[in-house]
Amino acid sequence: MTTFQPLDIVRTSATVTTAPPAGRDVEVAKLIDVSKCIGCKACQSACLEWNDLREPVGTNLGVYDNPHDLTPTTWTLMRFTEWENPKSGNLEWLIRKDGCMHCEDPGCLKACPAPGAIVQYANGIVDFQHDACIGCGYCEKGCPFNIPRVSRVDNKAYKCSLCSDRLAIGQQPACAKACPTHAITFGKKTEMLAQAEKDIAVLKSRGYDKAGLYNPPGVSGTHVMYVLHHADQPQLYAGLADNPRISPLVEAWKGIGKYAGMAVIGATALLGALHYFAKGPNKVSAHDEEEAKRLAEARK
Amino acid sequence: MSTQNIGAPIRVRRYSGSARINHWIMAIAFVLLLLTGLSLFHPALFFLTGIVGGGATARWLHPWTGLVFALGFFLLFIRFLPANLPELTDFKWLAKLRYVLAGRDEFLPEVGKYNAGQKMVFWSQAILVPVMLVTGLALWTPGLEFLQGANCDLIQGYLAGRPIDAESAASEYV
Repeated sequence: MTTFQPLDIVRTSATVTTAPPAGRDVEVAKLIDVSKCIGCKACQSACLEWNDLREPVGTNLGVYDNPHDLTPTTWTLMRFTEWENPKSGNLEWLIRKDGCMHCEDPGCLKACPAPGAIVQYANGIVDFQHDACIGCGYCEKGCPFNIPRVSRVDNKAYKCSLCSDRLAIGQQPACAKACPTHAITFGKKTEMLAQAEKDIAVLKSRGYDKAGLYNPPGVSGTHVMYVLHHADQPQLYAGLADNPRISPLVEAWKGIGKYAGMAVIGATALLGALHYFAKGPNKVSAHDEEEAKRLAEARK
Repeated sequence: MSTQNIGAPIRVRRYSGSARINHWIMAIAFVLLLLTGLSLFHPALFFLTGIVGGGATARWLHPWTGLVFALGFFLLFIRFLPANLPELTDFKWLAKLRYVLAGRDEFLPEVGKYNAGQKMVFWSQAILVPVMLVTGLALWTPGLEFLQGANCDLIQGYLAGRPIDAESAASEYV
């Protein structure tokens, strides 16, 4: 979705040059209050509708999750969890709208080897540029939330774009527009943080004393945030990561590994060249030939 | 040292035809692996994907060539193993490494088919080629989703998210 200008891009995958400092005063965020979600899947439908995606008919595993997992054509998915609260003895139906969190420090972008295939806009959206994608799947490995999916049809990676194309023409994301209970709200990140505080205060007044905001610092915050009634146990919500962060392997490979690897290659080439210029190649002398002849005849 | 007047060169049949074919397959696979691997390793080398026809081609060519390379090395390993077993002479040769670097072969002991340096290359490959194969398989998605769970430890570590079980991964694209 190249609806943004180059100056709107603050980060680009696999690029050695740094982007010009763009103003970040328009950072956006989607706020999902899971306590207001009724599990209607209107957001899922709206996502398919707007992005013109068709999920093939699947099979029923006996749970509400449909399809079972995110796919190249399902960029957002309601995940349902039945949890018995040991304190109250109540059965709680926890529903979480899963999808790209649009990390401020995106693991997919860091892992990506294709220049420009993943970009981060000044407004915080992390977007895939499919014409540059080579389908390697490194974004799947780099993502701390297990979100991107590589299509078996065109071998390119897909995920939620936070409707960057709708944003560019002043529209809110399709899922937020479709949500009938305002569980999904969209706006400036500062506004969403203020909204979250109000939502949390309401939840606390209703007895959810552990209610809180999910805006994990391990990835420098996200541009999709949750209000959770059990913010002390994010993993309750279909395995939401307690402390998501980019794998140290990815950080090392794409950080110091790049420089160390190039240094080792360069040093080896340099040493080889120096040795060649100092000593030159081995030469065969007449004596060597005689010795070889003697050995060859001894073999016979 | 003079290269003049060395008489008729002695021809030694050092390698059989099948050994040479095996080695050439590995040599071609190695160059392809190097070009495609380096192109994905550092952004400044991404232009190397152009040699094989673009990033998407480099991406599929790399893992498949890796299989060819690993299989080729396995055959070569069996073939050359007897000639690469360590011997006492290897240590004498290594002790005189400075003559090796200086190109003064006359001070070096007589060795078998391979000297200690060649043997060390052989044995380091015996370790590094399997490492390359295993780390390569771990990155082999899409195509080997069923391995993803097993390779979580290697690549994804303790990262969040549900493990993708083989059944749902298989049904995902039906």
